[in-house]
Amino acid sequence: MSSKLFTMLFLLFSLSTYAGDTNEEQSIKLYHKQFFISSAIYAKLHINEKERISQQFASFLEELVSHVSTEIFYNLSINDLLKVNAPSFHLIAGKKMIEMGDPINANKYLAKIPLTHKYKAEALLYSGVGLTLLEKEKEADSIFFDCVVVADDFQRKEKQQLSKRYYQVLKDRCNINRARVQYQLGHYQNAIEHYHQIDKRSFLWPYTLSELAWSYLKKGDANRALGLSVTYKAPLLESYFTPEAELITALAYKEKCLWNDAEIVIQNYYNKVKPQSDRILSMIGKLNLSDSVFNEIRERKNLEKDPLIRSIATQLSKKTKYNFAIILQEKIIKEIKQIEQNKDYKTVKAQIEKQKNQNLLNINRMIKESLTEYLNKINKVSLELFNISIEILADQRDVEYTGKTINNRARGSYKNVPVSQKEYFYSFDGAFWADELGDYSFGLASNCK
Amino acid sequence: MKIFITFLFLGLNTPIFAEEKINYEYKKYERFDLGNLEVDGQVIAPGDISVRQRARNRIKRQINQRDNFLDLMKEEVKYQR
Repeated sequence: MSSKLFTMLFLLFSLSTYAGDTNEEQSIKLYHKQFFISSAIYAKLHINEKERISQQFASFLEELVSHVSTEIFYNLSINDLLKVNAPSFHLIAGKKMIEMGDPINANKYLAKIPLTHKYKAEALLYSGVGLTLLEKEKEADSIFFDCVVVADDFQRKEKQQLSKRYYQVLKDRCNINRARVQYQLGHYQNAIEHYHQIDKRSFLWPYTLSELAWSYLKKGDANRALGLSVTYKAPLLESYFTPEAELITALAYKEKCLWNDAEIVIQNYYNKVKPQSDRILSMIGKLNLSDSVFNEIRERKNLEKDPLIRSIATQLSKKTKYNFAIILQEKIIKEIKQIEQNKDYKTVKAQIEKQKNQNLLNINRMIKESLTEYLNKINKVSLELFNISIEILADQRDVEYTGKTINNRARGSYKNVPVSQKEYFYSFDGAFWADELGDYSFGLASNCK
Repeated sequence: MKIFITFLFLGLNTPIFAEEKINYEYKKYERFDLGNLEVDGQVIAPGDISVRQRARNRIKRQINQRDNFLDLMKEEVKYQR
């Protein structure tokens, strides 16, 4: 009898304690009980309801972020984020400002992140992008260089493999952006050198191939551009969706006045992407009604059967934000199970369930955006290829009017490939070797003269 | 009396409003001798067909050759975190 009374009194006490707590107190209590997600949810409520956030609570939030990462705070408005004087919140605010087209203010807040902070390299990446958007390429290049140095420093000090990988990716991104800045300045050779610094084992490397091909094309080396574009046909890179590679191929053939080859590329592209485009359109239409596509992509089911879904799932898996959202969802589900064991946390459970649904919506939105971006890229390249087709017709008509004859060209020769001292020739025998990827070149002579 | 006046009025008015019937007759046949016709003035049409030479207009389609990778940079920021 006495034990029952004691339990009832304890329960009443616990309930009254949580019911009377402010969101700030609730957040701190949940943190100490290691319910980090729930703690973050109450912290957000506190930030939202208060005009100012104390420095003490800001320091607490910085500590909390190290357990839950920044994703959970991402749906706070910029005004709410700026209430918190903590580096992690400056990072999210700065990132959001860049996305909203305000790089000047973004850079102000990103600059507040100290050099010793773990997010400094990422902040430098965003700042560099902001400066590039403002067309301050030289300053951007210097910031991207700092980003490489800082990321490298953190990577060497870091012991966890996952964190080491995070800094490696940041380092690669900053190096790629250095190349992009050089490209934007028209310094194509410098851009090429920066692209070559990316390790072939990096998951970002396949994406740099088309950018490298653009650099060669702009530099006037269409044969290299063709060689790089054809690399995407290697089985290892099959799931990388790069319609721009087809555009580069068609342009490179056009540059060499190889109009028939260009026309074949264009026709093949239309034959390949038309069914894909139709299917994505029907999928986007259905997404509001059914969750089956979301589930397939999210849970990576039936990927072998469907190359299109596999390609979309692969593209998504390369996006850090998407992976963070998936990890967050797993953490939420795990915490819900822990909270369910304690009946005192009914209100907390309701809040965390709400967060779970919100996060799922975010993931699904990312999938839908990814599908739309996929479709837009297909359509954009289709239009560009159509323009090339028209231009080719005009080129051919020019030849007719001038009374010139089109040469009977040979298929290719080593003579047509400029090589540096470090480069040697190996002939291509229909097989893609991993170490050769990215170094292919065609040897086609120009048909224009 | 009234009847008399009415008949008198009708009898007086009939010849005043009657229309005269006109018969038009068109020319049934006319012959033109074109070879005999003479026109005053100067002949301005050219004797030979000629086309004035001009530069051929070539419509150039704008093909988007990338000037920058800003779209990819923005996408990268969007999906980094």
